[in-house]
Amino acid sequence: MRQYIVRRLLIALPTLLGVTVVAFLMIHLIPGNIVQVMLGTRTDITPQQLHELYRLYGLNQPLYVQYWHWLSQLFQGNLGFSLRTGLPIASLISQSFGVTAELAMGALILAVMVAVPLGMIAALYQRSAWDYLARGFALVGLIIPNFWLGTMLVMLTSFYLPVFSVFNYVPFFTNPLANLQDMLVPIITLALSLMAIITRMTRAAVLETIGLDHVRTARAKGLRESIVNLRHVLRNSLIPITTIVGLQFGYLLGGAIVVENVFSLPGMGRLIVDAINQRDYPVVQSSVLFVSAVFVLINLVVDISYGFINPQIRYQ
Amino acid sequence: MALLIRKSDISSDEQSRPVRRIDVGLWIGAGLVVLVLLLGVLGPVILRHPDAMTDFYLAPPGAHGFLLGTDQYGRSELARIVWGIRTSLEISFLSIGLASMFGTVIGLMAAKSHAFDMIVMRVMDILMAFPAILLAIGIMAMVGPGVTGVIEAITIVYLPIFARVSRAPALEQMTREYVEAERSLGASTARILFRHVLANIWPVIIIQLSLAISDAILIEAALSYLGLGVVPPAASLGELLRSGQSLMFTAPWTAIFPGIAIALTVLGFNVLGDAVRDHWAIRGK
Amino acid sequence: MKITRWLVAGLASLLPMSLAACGTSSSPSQSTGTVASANTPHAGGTLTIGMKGDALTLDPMLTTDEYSKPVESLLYNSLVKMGPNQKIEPDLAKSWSVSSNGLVYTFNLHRNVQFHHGSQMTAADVVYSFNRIMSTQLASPWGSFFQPVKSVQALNNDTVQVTLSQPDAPFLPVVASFLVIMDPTFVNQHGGNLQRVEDGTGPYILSQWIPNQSITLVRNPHYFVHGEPYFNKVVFQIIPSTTARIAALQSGQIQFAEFLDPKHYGQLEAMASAHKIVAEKYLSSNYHMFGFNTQWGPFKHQKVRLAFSYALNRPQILASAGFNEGMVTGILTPALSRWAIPTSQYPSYTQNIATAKRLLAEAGYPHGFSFNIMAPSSFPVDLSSAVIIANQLQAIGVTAHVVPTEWGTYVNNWVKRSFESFTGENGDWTDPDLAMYAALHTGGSTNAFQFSNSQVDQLLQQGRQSQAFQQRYQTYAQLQKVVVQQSPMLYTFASYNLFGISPTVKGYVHVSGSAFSTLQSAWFSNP
Repeated sequence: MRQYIVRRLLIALPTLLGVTVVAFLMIHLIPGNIVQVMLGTRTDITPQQLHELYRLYGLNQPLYVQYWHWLSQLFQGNLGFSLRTGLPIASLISQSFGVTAELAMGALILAVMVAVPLGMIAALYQRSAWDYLARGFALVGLIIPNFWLGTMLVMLTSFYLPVFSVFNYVPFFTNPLANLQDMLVPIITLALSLMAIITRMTRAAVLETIGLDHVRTARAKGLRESIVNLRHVLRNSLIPITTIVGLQFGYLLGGAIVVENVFSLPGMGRLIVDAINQRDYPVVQSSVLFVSAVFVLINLVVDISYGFINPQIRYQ
Repeated sequence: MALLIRKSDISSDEQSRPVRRIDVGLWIGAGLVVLVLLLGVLGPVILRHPDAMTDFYLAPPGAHGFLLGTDQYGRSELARIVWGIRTSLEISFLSIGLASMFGTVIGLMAAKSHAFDMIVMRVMDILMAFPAILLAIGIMAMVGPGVTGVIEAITIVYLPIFARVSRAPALEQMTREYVEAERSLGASTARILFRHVLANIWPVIIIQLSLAISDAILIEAALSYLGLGVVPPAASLGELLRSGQSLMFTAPWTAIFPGIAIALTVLGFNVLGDAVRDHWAIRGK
Repeated sequence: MKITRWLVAGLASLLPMSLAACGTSSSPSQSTGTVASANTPHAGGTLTIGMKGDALTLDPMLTTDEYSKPVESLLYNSLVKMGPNQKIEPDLAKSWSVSSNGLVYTFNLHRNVQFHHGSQMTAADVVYSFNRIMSTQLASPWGSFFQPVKSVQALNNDTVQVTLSQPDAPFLPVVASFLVIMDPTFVNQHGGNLQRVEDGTGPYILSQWIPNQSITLVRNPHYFVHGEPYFNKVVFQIIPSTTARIAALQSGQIQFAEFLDPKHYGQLEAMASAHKIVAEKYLSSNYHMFGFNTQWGPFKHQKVRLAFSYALNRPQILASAGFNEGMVTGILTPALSRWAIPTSQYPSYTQNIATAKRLLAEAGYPHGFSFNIMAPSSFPVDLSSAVIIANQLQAIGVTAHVVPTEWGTYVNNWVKRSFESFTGENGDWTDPDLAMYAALHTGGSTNAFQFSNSQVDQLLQQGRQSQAFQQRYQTYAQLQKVVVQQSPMLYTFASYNLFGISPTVKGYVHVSGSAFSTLQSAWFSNP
């Protein structure tokens, strides 16, 4: 087990090094540069001034020098500074990532809280109205694009529920209530598709468990229905549910980037897209690297945790 | 919205499913897909040209003979949506087609050559280290907005997925006896890989393919919604949604109908995809 | 982003009067600029402003983006400022005089003006500020406007004398728009870097800046205008999505926002007629246009370009791309009423397909040709304009392909002149010299059209040197006609911009070219 973890970590390192190359090339290969974008099409500027600006932003150096400069800073634990605003990128990321992470975490928790009971009910009362409701919900959740749903909710809340139509993000630890007021609708928007998937998975897993021998035995022994359901059925169904939840979390990060755009939340998506538009090279590079590192790490943790949930999985 | 939730990663689904239900799902899905395909292929021929501008700006549905109303240029919303479906299908089929083709070739070659495996699969790892939408955003920024750009972006996002999906079973096939037998009979490596191994693993690829199509439609929609994907004058479902949502307060139909069109299209491919997967899963057993 | 809609919006000595121009709009819901109120101003409350994007810098001398200027306009003052009716008004200079040869400007400063950090503002600070914006080391994008300045001297603590090397008509508007007075001690303390800090003299003081979220300003208790400002706090809340900003205005989360995309005006005016907000429209001095690369293929021929002008149906472009929220315009928009000649004087503004076809045939393209239009994908109006122009040009047998282009790439192509034609925005200049010289003079820095015409060059020179208004007017009237006849670019229309304001905000008067600085005299009716 420990060997496996170490090996996976060792593989992750060259992958992340590759990510630095891709992230660097990606932003530098886009036509246009920060000076051009800054000056736009209206400023009356002399060639000397232009030369001075290129020097100021370090654009007169060859690409490999710029890459090496960034990488060597990274190795010293320095994410660099924004060219456009002069702010340390570490603080930009810590602010923005908080928003994105909260959105993703909130959506995950909400989805599990709603979907697991819903899926269980659907399975236990198969072919009842509840079952059809749950399955219908699961289908709808999968096919509605979340940005479309979000846009509709922005409009509807501003008319009918202005309490939830809030656009000044307050960090959770500053004021939990104000934060929830702000994040609730976005979290619901992001959670919907995940709810759909988890509902389906829970229903399927529970249906399968009900048919298992020891559950039938427990029931035959005359144990009360609710105890059988909780003790045996749910516990056995947990493995596939946990699997799916783990797999989805990494992808929730991506979904959060789209949803935060709809609700104008200041998260990683806005940070990165704005920086791309501004050609703020170090911000794009370091933020993309950061998100990828988190993504790789989450997937790693999920993989490893399977071993704890399901001892049948062996690591080679 | 399965956006960025790779359903392909869901290893198992409702397993205790009677065969009869599969057929129902297959028929519903296939019916919707055929309808959407017909709309996408024939619609543009029958309906008036989607770029034709009239003087009826933002006419509500039903007015002046426009079934779904008009947009800000006085163009028929119905014609735009039909055109949008065509573009979205084009993007999703082409990109997933390309990704599955190249991905499978990479997967097969990785199964054959250890050196190739080491190098190329590391590159695939790097691509997989980005959340899909982030990778797509980055590629779009690089290649610029437009239909071709979206196809390139989605292809690159799905390339490593197909490479991985085909590599594992191909590796397993390479250990089978028949490979050894073929080799001793003097079959070339290419023949073994693309004739025999491929013949044994293609259901896996088909399953992946059927699931990826609807995801690709949603990724296109998300990119275009963010303003990075398809941009006017081209129309795709995502682009229509983007133009519509800024008019949502004044002309809600321009935002609502494209949303419904996306939902129905995705529904069709989803149900069909599930049915295809169940079909092969059962045959596989 | 687009460069400085704000900065430039009002350079001038003109009386166009955004609000007067607005009177030509048929919209029922627009209000007059002054939100008349029997209330007397009183202090209190927090004004939250919805902004589309975050400020990139707070150094006004280095600002090129449209989101920094509104914040800076409440932090800093200049010697003079743009007033209503485009008149130059006193700011930190309570009066000034100009020598008869137009070369020497003498400014008398207000006494007892304090910088935010407490030091006294003196004539030496004004001299320093002039030198800073003109220094090559700072490389201010606006420095070149100060080229005519020969020397700046402090005659005593309260008097500054500026000597020009040649008479320069737009000098005072340039000072009002680009110069701010800074505290040299503070600037030096921060190593010249004012991106995130400020020590201005303005009505509000920077209190907190959370990047990408909000900028909070607090009231300057020592502001030199007695009693002002009135809000205790002004918060710039960043809400990029326009739909979300409208929703926030609807729900009362923000009380003030400017909207530039006419797509949304329908909804805002509906809110105004329900008395939820006050919607105030004014005509922009910014115009939309379709520019040619005059060194490319068919566009080398003046007749082809003029034929395009005849082929366009400008009112239709305005109706469809601009939602009819604007006016058809030449190079100087109707907002610059002092200089702009009516569009009825341009024959090619009346669509005439026959004439267009004849001109095309004369130029040697009787069967048309095909070309690309580069359109900025993040500017919906310009993208829409390109789509409609391509559609209209079909009538004369010309095939245009619209190529939507991401903004950074667009600027890159623009700088390299690598395009066949493009749609875009320009203007916001309120002096005709600033509006035309760099864009149309042979080899001018913003002459991306690579247009060169000796008559235009000569008229531009003449307009720059003349002093008397009448003489200048004649020159620029002739120039406008020549430019339309030459058509290096085709002007289409100028949009209205719209402010959505909560009815509780009283006393706000929009002054074109001064960003949000007039918020210093606005107050809440119920703080």
